[in-house]
Order: sequence, then structure tokens, then C-alpha cells
Amino acid sequence: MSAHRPASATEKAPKVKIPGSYRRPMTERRFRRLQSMLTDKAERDSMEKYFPVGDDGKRRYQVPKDKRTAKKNDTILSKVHKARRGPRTIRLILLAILIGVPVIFNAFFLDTVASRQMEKFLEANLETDVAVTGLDIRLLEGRMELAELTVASRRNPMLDAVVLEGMALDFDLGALAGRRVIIETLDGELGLNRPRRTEAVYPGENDNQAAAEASDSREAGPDAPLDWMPVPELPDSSAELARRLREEAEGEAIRWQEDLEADRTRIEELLARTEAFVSEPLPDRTDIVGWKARIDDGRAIADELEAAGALVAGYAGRAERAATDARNASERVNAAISEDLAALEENFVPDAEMLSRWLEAAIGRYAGHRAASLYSRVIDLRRRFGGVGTDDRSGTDIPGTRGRMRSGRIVPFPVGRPPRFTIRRLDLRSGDSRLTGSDVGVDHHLAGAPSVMELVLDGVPGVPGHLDSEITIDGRDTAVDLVSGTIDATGFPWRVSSGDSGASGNMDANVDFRVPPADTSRLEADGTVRLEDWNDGVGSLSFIGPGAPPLDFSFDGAYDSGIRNLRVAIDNRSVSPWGRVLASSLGSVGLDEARGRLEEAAAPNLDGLDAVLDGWTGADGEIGTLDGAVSAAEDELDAMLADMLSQAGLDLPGVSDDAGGILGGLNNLF
Amino acid sequence: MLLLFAKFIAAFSAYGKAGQIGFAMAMGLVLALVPGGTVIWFILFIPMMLVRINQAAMLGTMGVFRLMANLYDPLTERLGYAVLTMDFMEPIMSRVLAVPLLAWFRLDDSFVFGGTLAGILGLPLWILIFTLVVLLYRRYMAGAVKSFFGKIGAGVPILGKLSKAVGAARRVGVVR
Repeated sequence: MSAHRPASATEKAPKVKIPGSYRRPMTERRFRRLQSMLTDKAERDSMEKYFPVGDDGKRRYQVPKDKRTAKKNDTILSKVHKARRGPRTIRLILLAILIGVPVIFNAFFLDTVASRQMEKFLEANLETDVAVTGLDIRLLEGRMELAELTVASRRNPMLDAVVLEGMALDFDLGALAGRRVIIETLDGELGLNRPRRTEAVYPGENDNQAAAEASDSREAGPDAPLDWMPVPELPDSSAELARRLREEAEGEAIRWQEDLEADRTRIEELLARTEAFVSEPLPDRTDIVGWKARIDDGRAIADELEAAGALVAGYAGRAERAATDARNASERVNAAISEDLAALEENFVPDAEMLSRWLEAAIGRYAGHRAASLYSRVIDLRRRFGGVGTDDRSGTDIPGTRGRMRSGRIVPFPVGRPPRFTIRRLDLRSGDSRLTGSDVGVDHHLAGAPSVMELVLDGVPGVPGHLDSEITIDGRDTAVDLVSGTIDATGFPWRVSSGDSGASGNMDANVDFRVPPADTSRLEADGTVRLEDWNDGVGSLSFIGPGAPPLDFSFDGAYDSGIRNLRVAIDNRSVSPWGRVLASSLGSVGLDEARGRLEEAAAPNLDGLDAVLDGWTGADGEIGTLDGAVSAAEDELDAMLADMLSQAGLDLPGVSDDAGGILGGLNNLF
Repeated sequence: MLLLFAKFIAAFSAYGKAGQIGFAMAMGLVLALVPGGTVIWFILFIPMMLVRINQAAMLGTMGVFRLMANLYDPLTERLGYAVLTMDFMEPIMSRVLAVPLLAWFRLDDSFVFGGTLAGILGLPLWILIFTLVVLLYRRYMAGAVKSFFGKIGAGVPILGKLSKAVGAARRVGVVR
């Protein structure tokens, strides 16, 4: 029905539209309310005139004939419309939709949405496949039930590392008013390492990483090579002697070479003069003075050549003596090594300290891989969850988010509120295994109490032995440790190996660990471990067999990016039973190792002595060449002087009586 | 979309008082400063949608300032942290946070607290500034803007429609 009727059928009404809500019929009460909003009497009368009462008692708008009046009415009604009180219907509807849709959606689809969000959250933080089925949230009852939650193994896609079944959770609705989640009880069946029916689908980009880590874990198995050999305190007299003798021999060789080089120049100059003398033409046969002078020169050169020959012979003798000394030095070094080994054999007694070093090496290498993987994972999770047990987040950006900030730093205030998230009683069971806890949660500073959990694993597939641990997480400012706890493990297999050597057995351990609040990336641990049921000893570890006694040792150390300050101390009570075994077996193993290390320490010096000896062998040839040159020059000079005498034929009274060789004979003749 | 943009431009020269438009724009800035999705934000937003206010100016200003949130978010967070860690705040916040349901306001979060503080305490200043902006716009720029859209509207049809939409928005009283 239209209220926009023309005044008469023949006249066309002006096209001036009034607000829509006044075109419809209105009750008398509404009309009076609208009219009361006008203060001008003329306007009120106009309203009365153009909103006549109909047969049904309702008022309808009558469009005026002239356009001017129509515009005037439109202005009045628009003014009234704008000045009306009360909420705007359309806006209210929009707001209702805006608020109501999410509420209705959550009311009817909350379980589905919560399941999906829980899966996404857990997958993002655990980086593995997580499935949530049968989630039923009953907000008004304060109860949540979960049929099954599976967390796939990050190493084996056909294995569920954790399975929660039949989980029931009661939470405190009243605590929600304080923006706190308090789970009164959390019960359920816990399963570990159960086979999956389908292969796990790892979340997106983490596929490769998870696979790589799984591969690393497999490679870093217990058969990884270990530098387990002990390092005994070696005597160093042989090494010291070898060093001293080598230095002496090398010094003598250097000095001999320097002296020889200096004399070699003079000898070569003498040889050159001899050659020149021999080559020079003889004086005229009538030149008696010239002949005499020539013969005197020849005799002088002959004397010098004789002295040079003696000098070269001296160098040869010096070289021979030095070579003999070097040879003797090498023999002395070998003898000293033998003496050291004999002394070591006589005095070598394997002790607890030596065995401790062996264990330190084994723990450092063997536990290093797994400890690194496990602890870095814990640190990573701590970073992702924004801190364990603390409410103070200093970061201003949420990792992995883009755009606007989501939250700032939480400033703690002393409010008597429960922690932000608490499980008052936790009880998860799986056969003989169970995970129990009390007041488990975060915000310990506000809670005034730490989280305490106890984990007992027994007969869980993939987890050999029995494990009983108690873990305390305390995020309060006054807490001594952020995380602390004890682990009691029995019957866990162990194995160490190095190449073809290896040993294995079972292990019982009692370990105390803690994470100091000052440095949360640091894990400190100490405890006692008992290695027993020794078997599979092969190679250099053959002394270890089923009859080997157990070995108790205590250790303490720290771990952040690697094991640091690891100290292992053998329990004295363990040493006694091991004395016989160690003395006969580990002793011989240690002696072999010691022999190798002694020879290794002396080897550079022995090599140095050998090099010196080789040098002297080369020097023999060098000296021989020089000596040959001097002898040849002597022979040539002697031959020339003899030739001169045979050609002279006249008396040379000035020739000295002490002239040697043919010249001396000729002197008598002259 | 075009109409929304037209409403925002028209709001500056609407037949309302400059102070009313300035208030609407200031509320838009407050809603931009307060982190979205928080209880406080909804508490501020819902009444603003119910009362008579120039919503185009409010929503437009909120949208514009939200685009620049990365610039001022760290500042409001630091402001909130600085104020929250003052000694006199401890007894106040301890009482406030102990009140049921108030914990959902996340007032102990420096980001939420800083944004709320900057928005609400600065409201008089924002109103003053935006009123001044509107007055200056009307005095010096409104004619030029109208002329600008009129000129390019002839050559670019979409901008011509925008110019007409602005005029229509003002005529039909959509913008108050």
C-alpha cells in the first residue's frame, strides 16, 4: 500500500520524496510523538493538515498539490527524522550480525573450529603431524572431552610418538572472568610410539627439515666412532733427548757448511792462480834471474796447494765425525724411547682418572648428538611459546606474524590471581606408564608455586627400560632454578664403539638436572651412572666381556651449544673390581697407545737426524770433488816444475835446498 | 567503495559543525591507536556505531591511521610500558586487574595500555587538531578540491562519478 497518493486523479503531484518511514501509515501515538518534536505552530499545523486520519484510524501522508509546499513538508519531516531519538534499527541489525555471527558460529561450530585451531597450533609448534578427533567442548558445563589426539613422530612417519585417548578435562568457568584458564582435572590414556595406519603428513615447509633431522638422528646412532682411548701421562725424556741431539747435529752441520764455504773461496782462488802459473810461458833460457823467480813462485804455490789439501782433508774428517755423531744420536734416541717404554711398563697402572677420561670422551661424543638435538629442541620450543614459567615477554614482535603488532610486554602486578594456565591435577596413564602432575602451568610468579610433574615410563614401545622422573618448573623471580628435576632410569641399553672396537651393556642412571634462571640456554646436570652387563667386546676392547664388573661413575657438566666442563669421576668402589681387568687388559691397550704416542713425539726429531745424516753423505762427495781439484793442481804444478828443470841446463845456485821433489834433486845436480 | 570514499571526502565539507567532524575523526584515531580485536576496542567501537556521529569521518580516519600503525605502535608500546612500570601504578593496577572481567581488557599488556592511554588521554588534543584541520580545509582547500575534481572529472569518467557522488552524498543528507 502506498501513502504517496495524488490529491486527485487528474492532477499530477510534484515529485518530492519525504523520508521513507513517513510514507507508510502511522499510528496516532507515533504521529503525536513526531508532532511534539516541532516547536513552530505553523509546522505543527502543516503536519496535522497533510497527515489526515484514515478510516482505519491511522494517519497517512497526503502529497500537497504545489511543489513548494511539498518541499517545505520534506524539510520538516527530514528535520524530525534527523532529530529522532533511540537507536537506528539498521545499524543495530548490522551490529547484531557483526557480533552475532561469530557467536552463533562458535556455538554451533566451536568443536570443529577448536579442533582445527588446536591442530594448527600444535603442528606449528611441534613441526609434525597432529590430529585431533572427537573434540567436544561444553562451555556451560566447564568440560571438554577429546576422543583422540595423535602427535606423529618426527623421525618415523609411520609412528605416533604420543597418543592421547579418552581425554577428559574439567575447567573452572569462574577463572575465565579473570582471564585465567584453570583445568581442574585432566585425565586420559597416554600412548607412546604407536604405529600409524597412514603416513604422517608433516606441515608444509618443515618436511625437509624434519626429514633431515630424522636422517641426522639415524646417522648419529650409538655406532658413531668414538675417540675413547685413554691418554696416559707419558714420560718425555726420550722426546727431550731427541730434540736436543737433533739441534746439536743440525748446528754442527750448519757451522761446517759455513766454514767450508769461506775456505772454498780461497782454495778456488789458489786453483785459479795455479792454473795461470802453469799456463804462463817460460822465461828466455838466458834469463837466469827470470828462471829463478819463476821457480820460486812455483815453489810458493806448491806450498799453498799442500796446505789447501790438508785443509780439505780436515773438513772431510770433521764431516765424518759429525755423521758418526748423528748416527749415534739417532741410536741414542731409539734407546731412550725403549727405556721410556720400559719405565712406563713398569710404572703404568690404569687408575680411575684414566678411566674417567675415557668416559668423558665417550659421553661427550656419544651423548653429544642426542643431547644437542634434544636440548636445542627444548630451547626452540621455549622460544616459540614465549618463555617457560615467565610472564615477561620483552619482544615487541610476535615471531612469524606480519603487519601490526599483536601484543606488547606483560607487566606483572601483585594480583591475587591464579596463573594464566593451570592444570590442578594431571593424570595420564598408559599401562604401567603414567604422567602425573599438580599445579602444572605457567605464571608461577602469580601462582606462588612451581609446576611439579612426575613421569613414569615402563614398557613403552621404543623406550627400553624403566624411567622415573620428576620435573619442577619454577618461573618465579625468587626461584633457584627455572627447571630442575631428577631422572631415575634402569635397564637402558648403551653401546660405544670406535671402528672395529665396541662395547655395550645396560645402564642404570640417576641424574639431577637444572636450568639456571640467569641463562636459560644452559643445562646443568650431574648424577651417577652404572654401566653393567658388559658384552660384545671386540678388537682393542676385547677385555670387556660378560664377566666385566659394573662401572659406577658420577659426572657433572653443562650443556648449551655443546657439552662443556664435563667432569667424570669413577666411584672408588668400582675401581677395585676393575683393577685386575684393567691391569691386564686396559694396561696393555694403554701401553700400545703410549708407545705410539712416544714414537709420534720423537718422530720429528728422528727425521731431523736422518736428514742431517743424508746431508753428511752429500758432503762426502762435495769434499771429494774439492780434494780432487787440489790434488790435480798439485800434480800439474809438479809436472811443470820438473819440465822446467829438465830444460834449464845451467846452474841455479839460488834454488833453495829444501825444494822438494824433482826440483830438490835438480838442486843437487846444479 | 566509491561512495565510501566520496563520503569521507564529503565529510570535510558537510553541513555539520567542524567540531562534530573533528570529534568523529578523533574517535577514528582513538580506534586506530587502540589495538584492534581487544575488548577495549569493541567497547569503544560499538557505542560509536550507535550514537549520532559522522561515521564516514570516523571510519575513514581509522582506516587511514591503521595504514600507518607500524610507525606509532612501537611508540605507544613504549609509552604503555613506561607508565605501567611507574611505582604509583602498582597499587592501581593491582586493584584494577583483580576486578573480575577486567583482566580481559589486557591492561597489563604494555601495547594495549599504551594505545588506550594515547588514544583516550589524547582525545581533547585530537579533537582540537582535527577541528582545526577541518576548518583549514574548508577555508583554503575545499574550493580547490571541488574545482580539481570538476576539471579532471570531465576527462576521467571515474573521477567525474566521484565528484558527482560527493555532491550527491551532501545533498541527500547522508553526510551530516
